[in-house]
Amino acid sequence: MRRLRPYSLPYLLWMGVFILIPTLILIVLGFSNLQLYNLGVFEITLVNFTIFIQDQVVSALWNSLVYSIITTVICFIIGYPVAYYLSTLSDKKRKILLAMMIVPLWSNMLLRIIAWEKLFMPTSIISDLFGISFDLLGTPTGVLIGMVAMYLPFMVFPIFSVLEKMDYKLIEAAKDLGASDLQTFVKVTFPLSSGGVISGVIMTMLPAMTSFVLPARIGLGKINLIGNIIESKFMKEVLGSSGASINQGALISLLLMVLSVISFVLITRVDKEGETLI
Amino acid sequence: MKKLIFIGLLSFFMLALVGCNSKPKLYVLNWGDYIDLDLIELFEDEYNVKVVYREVGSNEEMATLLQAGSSAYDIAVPSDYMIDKLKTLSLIQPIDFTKLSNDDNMTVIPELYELYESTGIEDYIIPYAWGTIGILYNTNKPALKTLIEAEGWAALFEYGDTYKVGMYDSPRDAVAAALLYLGYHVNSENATELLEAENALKDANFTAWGEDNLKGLVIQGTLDMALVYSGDYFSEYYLAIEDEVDVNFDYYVPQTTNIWVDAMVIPTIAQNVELAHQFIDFFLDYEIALQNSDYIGYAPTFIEIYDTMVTDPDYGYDFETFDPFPDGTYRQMYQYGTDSRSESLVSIIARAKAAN
Amino acid sequence: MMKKTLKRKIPKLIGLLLTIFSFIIIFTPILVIIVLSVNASTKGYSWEGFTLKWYVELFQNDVMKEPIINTLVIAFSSTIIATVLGTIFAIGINALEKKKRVQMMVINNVPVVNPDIVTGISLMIVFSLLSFTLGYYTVLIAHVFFSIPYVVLSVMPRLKKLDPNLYEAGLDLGCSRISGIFRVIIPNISTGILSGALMAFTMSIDDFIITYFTSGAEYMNVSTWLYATLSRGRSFTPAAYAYNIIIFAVTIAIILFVNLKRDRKEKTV
Repeated sequence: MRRLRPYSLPYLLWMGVFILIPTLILIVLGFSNLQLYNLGVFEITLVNFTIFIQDQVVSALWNSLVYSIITTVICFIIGYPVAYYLSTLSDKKRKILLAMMIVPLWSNMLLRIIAWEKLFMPTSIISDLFGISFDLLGTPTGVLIGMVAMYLPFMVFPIFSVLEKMDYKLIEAAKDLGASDLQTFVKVTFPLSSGGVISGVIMTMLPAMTSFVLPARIGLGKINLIGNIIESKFMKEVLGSSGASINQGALISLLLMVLSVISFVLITRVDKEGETLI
Repeated sequence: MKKLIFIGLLSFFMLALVGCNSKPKLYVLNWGDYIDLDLIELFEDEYNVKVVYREVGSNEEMATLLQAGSSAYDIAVPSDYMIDKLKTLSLIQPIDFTKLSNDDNMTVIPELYELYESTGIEDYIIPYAWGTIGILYNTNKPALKTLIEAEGWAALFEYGDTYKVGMYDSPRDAVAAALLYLGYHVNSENATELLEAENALKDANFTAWGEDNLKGLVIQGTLDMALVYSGDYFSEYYLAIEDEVDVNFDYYVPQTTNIWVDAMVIPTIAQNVELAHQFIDFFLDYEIALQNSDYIGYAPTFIEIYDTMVTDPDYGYDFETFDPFPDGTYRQMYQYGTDSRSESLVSIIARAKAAN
Repeated sequence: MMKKTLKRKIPKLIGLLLTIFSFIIIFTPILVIIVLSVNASTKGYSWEGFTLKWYVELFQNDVMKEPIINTLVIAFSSTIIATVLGTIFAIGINALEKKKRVQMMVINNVPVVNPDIVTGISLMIVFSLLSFTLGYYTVLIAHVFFSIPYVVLSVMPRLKKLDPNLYEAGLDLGCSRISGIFRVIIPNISTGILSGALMAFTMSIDDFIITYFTSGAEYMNVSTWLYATLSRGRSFTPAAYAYNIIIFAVTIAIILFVNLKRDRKEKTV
């Protein structure tokens, strides 16, 4: 197998180009007044950090934290039993059901969000046809339902893939030694699946935190997350601030990257090679 | 599997080859669904060129693309204040009017021209469409119509507790509405006036901050009224008529409001300036301009076209709010102002949204 | 006895109920899109009667043709390229010594965990530094970039289960290095490759943010087109819903077909 090692080298180069360089640029942008669209002389400065004391950024960070944590917790409470249940099914059934869970993700995300938006209006085609009406636009409940529906599969997949590969001899051994079902689950099954849980949490929480179309549309623009701030910094404000908005956006992106790195540390602690990420 | 990969790669390279094409290319940057594509085809045939057409959703995106310079756009259609800024940044170039043979046959509507004639952008633009900002409201509540007509802008800012009100999630428009409500000019740089505007936005108790979704929210009853562009109303109105459904909404333009104008400009990065002029000239042709304006459905910027659309019963654009600038009303137009003002507009609505 | 089976059944019942609930919540938007796609009203504000005209329009609408073709071409080509490259890289990584392997996997996970918006902006920065013209190829590179890690992640577990001696044996029996891969390794990891490809396709076909930042004037996919069409005053045609439902129906059909076929095979064997 050794002679196959060289096949990994191009990947290192490829990742170096697409990860290392942009990260360095983001760092320079975040800590200076360099203009992205007009590269030239720049000065190192900490002035971009002032965004972190602005009310709207603080409240967006707070909202992101609250909404992503609640979403993740709900996804976990629903997702774990689902993954467990799926792993107990026959090979054929679980394959079909997992595929059925992926396919809705092939529908355009924007259209799925618009669908929720339509459903949550007081009068809509759904109320015309089925007489069901939810008035949930602009409410935290509406946003949370939308987020859970969007990210739930990303909680189920990693947990499922750990449970599927789990060595059932261990569980049987625990039962032979007299452990009850509950004890077996708490002491054996759950710890063995913790890698999948951590991956699921990360795969749910980070995207939920940085989503921006969903909070803007279902939250009626009143529930702003950090994704909305980044989007605005890179796409809406660009000219208005002689380019500084990009530097601020870069700084927030760096903050998210730091979060990602922390997530890695968590993952690698439990699961050295991050195989449970999908 | 091997076969599959081979076929895949082959089809991929074939497709890549199809993309090559030796015709001269004209890069056009426009808003979504904002031109009659049949006319673009006609232009392509007539001049034997390929038009590469990119759609975006905001002025800021347009400016970003022009500034990033990743594609050399020959034509763009930004709005008033953004044109002002693009000019300051030397991202657009003056139009050579001598190259436009149809320009003499077209007269920009004088009221519109007056609004920008001395702002310095007049040599850089050929106006494309124009309109107002105003209040879209649901007509299912009869009292609302009377209220809005009596109160004007105040309806948006003082009745947030009784009615569900939506505000445009765009710094310039939201602050402009507040300034108009307070009786100030939309381009005010006065710190006290801007502070008052911020407080008005904070105190208004809006139910929603939105963009394209506001119109649907009003029509489906999540909101009672919202600040919208005239274009939002027109597109809904035409579609309701086309679909033969009840029109349960109306658009009210207060006595004093802002005029927006979108105009064709030639970016500095343009590679094909000659062809860009030909493109503009093509859309200045009476028949072409008429067909295009009818397709878009917004108020045309030339008297000749406007008159036909309003007076000719075949077109039937003679409804009340079609004219952005009726006699006896007051109109203002955005200018970019300073960078620091733009920045403060962004923070104003960010703070207002956080407080709402 | 009765009590014990009941106790066992309750967790299973909860699992079943939550699974049903999950499918309801995941499929709700799809059902709304189905209703919107057969509704006669252009705006979809109210139910105006059943129609199939949007499905007809889908095939006549020139405006939508290009974004749809672009989306599918990129989804298929990036999936194929990412699957091939990802498999090769995974084979290489798997052959590394433990410490290096872990390091490589950490790097591999960066794009998986990074928010899309950061990845999109990063790629845009690299492309503008390399002075690539943004367009079809930059979008392709971007999609390949964010798909490869998923392929690597799906292939790795299967590779690890593979007995390293098998490959060596293949070489001893006269396989060349390359044909050894094709004859010994690939057949044993094909499930992993397939699920990696599926994941890559899922990520590509629905991508908005990364495409938005890496596409230039000449390239639009369905997502970026929808976003532009939603601007000030305009709206998109319900044919977009029809497109979505067709993609959905075709994939469901393929899944059922593949499973039925496998059933039949198993029966005949």
